[in-house]
Amino acid sequence: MTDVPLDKPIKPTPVHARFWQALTQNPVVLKELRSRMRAGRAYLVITIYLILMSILVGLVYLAFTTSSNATGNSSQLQAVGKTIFGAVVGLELMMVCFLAPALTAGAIASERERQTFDLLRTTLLPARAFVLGKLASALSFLILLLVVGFPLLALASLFGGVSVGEALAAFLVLFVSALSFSAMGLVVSSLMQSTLAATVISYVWAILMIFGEPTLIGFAVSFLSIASTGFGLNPTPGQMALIEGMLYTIGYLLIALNPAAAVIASEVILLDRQNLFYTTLPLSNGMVFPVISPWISYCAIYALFSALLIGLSVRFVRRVGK
Amino acid sequence: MSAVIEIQGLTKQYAGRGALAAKRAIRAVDDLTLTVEEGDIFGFVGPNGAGKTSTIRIMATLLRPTQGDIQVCGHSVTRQPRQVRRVIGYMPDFFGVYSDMLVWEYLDFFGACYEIPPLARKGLIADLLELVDLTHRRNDPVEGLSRGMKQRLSLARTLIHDPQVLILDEPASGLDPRARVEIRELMVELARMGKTIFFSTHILADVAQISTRVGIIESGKLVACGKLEELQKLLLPHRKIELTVLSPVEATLEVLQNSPQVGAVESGNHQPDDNRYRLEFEFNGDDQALSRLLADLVSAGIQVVNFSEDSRDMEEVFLRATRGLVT
Repeated sequence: MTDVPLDKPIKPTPVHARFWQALTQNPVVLKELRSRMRAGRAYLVITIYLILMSILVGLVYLAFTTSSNATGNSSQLQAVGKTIFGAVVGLELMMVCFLAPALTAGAIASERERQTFDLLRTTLLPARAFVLGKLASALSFLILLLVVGFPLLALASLFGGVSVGEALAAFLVLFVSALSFSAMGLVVSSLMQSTLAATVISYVWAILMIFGEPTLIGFAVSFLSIASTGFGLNPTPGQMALIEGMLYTIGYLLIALNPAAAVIASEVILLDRQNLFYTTLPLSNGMVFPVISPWISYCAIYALFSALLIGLSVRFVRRVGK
Repeated sequence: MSAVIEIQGLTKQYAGRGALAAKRAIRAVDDLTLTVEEGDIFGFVGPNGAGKTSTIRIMATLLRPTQGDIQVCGHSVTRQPRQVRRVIGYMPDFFGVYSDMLVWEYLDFFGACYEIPPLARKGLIADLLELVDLTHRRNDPVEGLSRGMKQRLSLARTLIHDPQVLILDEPASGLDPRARVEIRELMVELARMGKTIFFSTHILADVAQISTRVGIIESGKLVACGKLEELQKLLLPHRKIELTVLSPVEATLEVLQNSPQVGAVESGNHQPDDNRYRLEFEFNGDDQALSRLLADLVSAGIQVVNFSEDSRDMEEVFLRATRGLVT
C-alpha cells in the first residue's frame, strides 16, 4: 500500500481548462452544433459568404490593376493590401452584425415553440449553462465564418500594408461584435414566446444600433461645427476649449458605440497618426485632447454590454412561472 | 410506507388582466391537500380546467404556488427546486420534439442535462430503449416515430436519471387503444420496479385498471381521495354486479331474490345463439357475502359464465364526486 502524502497541495484547475471543460461538457453546445451542421443550410451560408467575399476581393484587385496610374510599386501594392483588408473586415463586420441576431433570436423562443423549454427546466441543467450553451453555439458558427475568410485576409497581407496588430485588433472587434449582437438576440429570445417576434425585434434593435447611431453622429457633427464657432457668442479661449472638450467627448462616445464608426475612425487615426492605440485632438487654445483609439473603447463598452445582456437572459430563463 | 408526495394547502391563483384584474383572477387550485405513499400509482382525475395540470406543473417546479407547498421526497418545490428535479421524472401532456435528433441522441442529450457521465449514458440508453421497446428505432429520427412511440420515448426520457417519482400529465391522451395499453403496462412495470407514479388523466378506465389510489379534483378542490374500493363504498350506495348464465334464467332469479343483499335485478339481452342470459343486479353486501352468493348460484346448479363487478363503477364514482355529492 502506498502512502498518499496528505500535505501535497491539490493543483487548482486553470481557468482556461475549466472554461474548455464547461464548453465541451455543455449538452446544449453539442446539441446545437450537431443540428446546425447537420442541416445543409450552414454549408450554403458558408458558400454564399465566401463567394461574396471572393467577388469583393476580386473587384478591388481588378479596380487597382485596371487603373491608369497603376505602376506596381510597393506603396501601391500596400494600398491594395490595405483596401482589400478594409473591404474584407467591413463585410465581415456587417455579416456578423446581421447574422448574429438571426442565430440567437430563435435560440430560446424556439424551445418554447417546440415545447421543449419546460422539459429542460425540469432537468438539472442550470439556466446559466443553457444560455451560455446557446450563445457558444451561435458564436462558434460565426467564428467559423470568420476563420473560413482568413485566406482572403492572408491575400491582403501578401500585398503588405497590414500589420499583425491591426489584424488582431480587427479580429477582436469582430469577435466582440459577434458576442454583443448574439447577446442582443439572446435576451430578446429569452423574453419572447415566438421565434418570429424575437427575430423581428432583434433585427429592429440591431438596425437601430448600426444605422441609428450614425444618424446621431451626423447630428453631433453638425452641432460640433456650430459649436466650434462658440454659438455666435464670444467665449474666452479657456471656455472655448472646455466646450470643445465636451463636444469631443460626446462625439467620441457616439463613435465608440457604433461598430462601423469605431472601425472607420480607428482606421483614419491609424492612417493619419500611424498609431493603433491612441491619438490627440487639437483644441483652439493650443492644447491637445488625448483619446484612445475608438476600437478599444468599442470593445470595452460592448464586452460590458454583452455581459449585462447575458446576465439578463439567464435571469429571464431562470424565472419560474407565476 | 412513507409519504413521497405531500401537498399541503396548495392554492394557485392566476392574476387577471386589465382594469378588472381582481375580478378576472382565476383560482385554478384551491387549498389542495393530499398525500401519495411510496409505491403508489396515484390517478389524479378531474374534468377539464379542474386544476390537474396546474398542480402537476407546481410539482414539477415549473410554476410557483400562490399559497401552500408540495414536498417531494422531503424536498420543498418552492425552496429546494433543484433537489426536487433530481428525484422526479416529469412527462408533460405534449411531446417536446427536436425534429433533427435521432432517438438515441434525444436520450443522450437529456442524460447529459441530468449530469450523467457520457460512459454511463451509453448503457443506460440501451437499457431504457429496451424497456420501452424502441431498441429497433435507436437510430431513427425522433420526428418519424408514431405518437405512441414518442410517448414511450418520452417515458424513457423521464427515467434517464432513475428518479423515485414519476409525474405524468395525461400519459395516454391522444393514443390509439394499443398504445394506451402499452403505456399502461409500462406504468405498472415501473411501479413494480419501485417507482411512485402520480398521473393525471381523463381516461377513467386507466384509473380503474392501474391506480392503487385515486384523487378526484373539481374546480381546484379535492372532492374525493382514497383507494378505488373505498371511494366506491363512500360514493356508491350499492355495488353493481354483472352475471351471465346459461339457461334457465328463472332459477337464477330465484336464488338472487332469496339473498337479502341483492337489490333491483335488471334482465339483460338474451342471445339465443349461445343460450346466454345477461343479468345485472345491485348488491349491498361485502366481498364475503358476494362470494357466498356465487357459491349459492353454483350449488343451485346454475351454470355461471361470468360473475363480475361492473367496470363502469369508476365512471359512476367520478360522476357522483364531481356533481358535488361529496362536498
